Amino acid sequence: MSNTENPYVPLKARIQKIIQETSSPDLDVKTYRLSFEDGRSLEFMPGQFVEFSVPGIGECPFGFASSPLTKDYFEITIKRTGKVTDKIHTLKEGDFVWIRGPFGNTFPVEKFEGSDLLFVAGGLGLAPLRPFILYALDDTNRKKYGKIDMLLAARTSSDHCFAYEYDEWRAKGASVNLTIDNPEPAWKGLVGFPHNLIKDMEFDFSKLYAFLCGPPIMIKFVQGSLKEMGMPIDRLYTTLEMRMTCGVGKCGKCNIGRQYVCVDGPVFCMAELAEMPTEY
Amino acid sequence: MSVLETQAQKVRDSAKKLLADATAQTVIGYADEGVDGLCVPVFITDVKDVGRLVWNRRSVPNLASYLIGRKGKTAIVAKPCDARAVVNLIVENQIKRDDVHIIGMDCPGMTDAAGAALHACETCQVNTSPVFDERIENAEVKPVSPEKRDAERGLDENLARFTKEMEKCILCFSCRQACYGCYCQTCFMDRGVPDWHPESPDMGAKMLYHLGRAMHLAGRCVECGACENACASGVDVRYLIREVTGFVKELYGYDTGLSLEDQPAMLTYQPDDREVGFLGGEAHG
Amino acid sequence: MADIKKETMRKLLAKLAESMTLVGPSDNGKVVEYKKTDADSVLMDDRISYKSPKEFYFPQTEKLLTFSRDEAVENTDVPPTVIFGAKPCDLEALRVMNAVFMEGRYADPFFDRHMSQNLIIGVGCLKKKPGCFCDELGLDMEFSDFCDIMLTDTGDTYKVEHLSEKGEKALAQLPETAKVTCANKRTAKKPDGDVIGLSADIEDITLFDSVNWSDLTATCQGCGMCTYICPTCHCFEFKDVSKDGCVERYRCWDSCIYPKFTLHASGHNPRASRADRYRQRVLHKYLYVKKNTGHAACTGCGRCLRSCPVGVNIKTVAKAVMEVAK
Repeated sequence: MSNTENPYVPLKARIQKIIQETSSPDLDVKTYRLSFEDGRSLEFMPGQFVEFSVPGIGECPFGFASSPLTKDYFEITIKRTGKVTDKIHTLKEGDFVWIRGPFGNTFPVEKFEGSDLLFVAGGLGLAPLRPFILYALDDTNRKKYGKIDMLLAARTSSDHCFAYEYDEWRAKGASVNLTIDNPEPAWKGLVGFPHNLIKDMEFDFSKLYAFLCGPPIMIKFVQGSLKEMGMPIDRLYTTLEMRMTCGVGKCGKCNIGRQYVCVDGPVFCMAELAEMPTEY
Repeated sequence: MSVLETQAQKVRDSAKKLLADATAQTVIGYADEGVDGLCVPVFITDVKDVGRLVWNRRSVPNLASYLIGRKGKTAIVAKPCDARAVVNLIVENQIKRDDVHIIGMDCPGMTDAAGAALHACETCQVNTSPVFDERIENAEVKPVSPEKRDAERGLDENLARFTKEMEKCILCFSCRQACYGCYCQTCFMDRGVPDWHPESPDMGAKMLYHLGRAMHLAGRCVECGACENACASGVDVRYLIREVTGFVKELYGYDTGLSLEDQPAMLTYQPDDREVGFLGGEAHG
Repeated sequence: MADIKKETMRKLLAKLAESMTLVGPSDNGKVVEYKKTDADSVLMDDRISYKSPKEFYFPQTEKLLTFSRDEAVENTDVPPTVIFGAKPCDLEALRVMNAVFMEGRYADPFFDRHMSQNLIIGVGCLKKKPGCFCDELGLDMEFSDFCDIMLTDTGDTYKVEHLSEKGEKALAQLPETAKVTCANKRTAKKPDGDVIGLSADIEDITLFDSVNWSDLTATCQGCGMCTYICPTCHCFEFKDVSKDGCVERYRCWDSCIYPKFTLHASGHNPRASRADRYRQRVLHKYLYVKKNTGHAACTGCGRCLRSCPVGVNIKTVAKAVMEVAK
């Protein structure tokens, strides 16, 4: 349920910290660390999202990017793309924004217990996966999951989000593989697209769940590669983005067939998506 | 057979011939398949379907805008106002002359469901197509006495009339969508940056929209009345545009869509043009 | 049920209008509008308004919030309104709207407030108007129970029955109407024979891909008029307005027929063409809402057929879609 009785009413939140995630001129991504002014914490699970308002400019949905186990604050990672995000990017630490949520379904994290996890992310696609990554890597949960592999793609070496955290993820037993589209002089990671590189990775498909998030074209091709390698699509998950207004299944914008991405999603199993109209 | 039915038969004969000898890939015309006897637009691509084509006093929709973006040669059943719209679309480089075959209908004027003449038809001055590839005559068609433009009003009176008329408007934009001339890919009202559209349907928003649209149609309106026919709320949508059209005629001697050689009034400049339209120019009157 | 003279009904409306806003069908000289009116001039004939009474429980623009320094304050100011003369198609549409806004994981507090503040007086139709097809959808043109008071026009009088406590209380305000009972409470007639409609069991994807949407919607000019006057269309957008240094958030009608409706900030549009958008309108009405609420979101009021400038006929389209669904 929403944090307030009326799901349309947002609460005031303070920007505690702003982290510049990328430094390419045409890809401006910042992470905003927020906490509510009245001290309450936002209970959410991986996959969910909030409606983020700048009064007078507008409201946009964004997925959580932080760990659901962190109670003091939550983080939202935002790329500068339009009217609202332009404005958000001008805000400074200490400024206020308005938040309502959490909304949407969650990754069924308990269903994946005892299995290996593979995260494939393209660019900003890592943000909505990060809550689940941090949840699974947390000391209280780590032993519930098997091998944790990641293939994180970005256009250039300066476009990887949350790069400051990768060593910590590795220390907790995750295999973090990075790739960029084209070779760069000092780059030590992989070069190329994830759907090719994934073929060189080894998995135990009898107990693997995979989570794909990124540009639609990347999802399409990575899904194809994994299927070829023997992965059943009912073990593939993704999260969708749609234009939304209300977040509560009323405004009629985000539906794909009868399903509303805001309440029936944003997390979908690929087997489910295969049965849905391709209108996203 | 009535004169109209004779015209209709000629439309069908012509369509059959155009499709059979591949002069046109599609014939856009009217079919009697609407509610209350309204003729609806129909796209005929097969000779065996030409029987669906009709022509009567309920052939209301202006079909010109269906020509934009069409591939292959298209024949269009055109009332004189529709033909003017086609001409202006050619003049404005939205379609090519060679891609369209104009079946110019002599037009007795259209009516509403109750049989009363439509507003635009009551004062129509052009009842034969100015440009056509073939003309389908109607000997009963007679010119109407010229439209008398509304006497000029003061600002206050004008605003009062606008306010009264626009109380009915719900800003659904169907007048814009029905207009052959509103072919902008993104209407100024739909732009995100700057955000013109106040969303709340108050008088300010209505003024912005209707005045904006009237100015954009200066020297481009063919007086087909599609906007007012599209309005479900019964707004006299065209009254502002009528005034603007009147100014353009008076100041620049220009009538829209009568000739393929004309340069659009707002795209040309003559040294002796009155400067009423310029910022800081002479006051009108 | 009781017979009450229309003059008495006007008296009752006048009485109710002392403490509530009265809205009903009225003639603006060109068309029948649904608007604020008074008991003397409200229409009591069989004509149908070009717009439905939708805007009186789902306003075209409605203030939701005012942002103050520390709080987003909810607007709870809803004027109590008597909605007079709603047709059975309008009432059935209200039933659909109510399901959309009040059922599911979240209830809409603003819609709820309108519903609790409104007194709805329905009037059965005497005859079908051009374009009407409620009967073909299996609905009863004379009666719907989704209202507080139902009237049946018998010329100079109305047969009156109350269908809720709110309706009973309203009738009690005038001695002449106080004794109306609901002893003979009717139920809507069940359709005989086939009706236009899709089974909720049909997969979304079946109709999405295998209907020739481009051909079916080739003449549509994309004006969106149909969605504005439709009694069940309920899509909306938020808009922030700055007033006197203070920001207010409004809810405004939006339309699936407009290209901007689903346009992403990135420029990607999942429904890029007019045919894509019209498909959404048709399938949302006849299939998606039916799957989610049990009711199809079309009640055959015929308004979109009558008002479409180019005569696009949703009934023809629905029938063509049904053919494919078979």
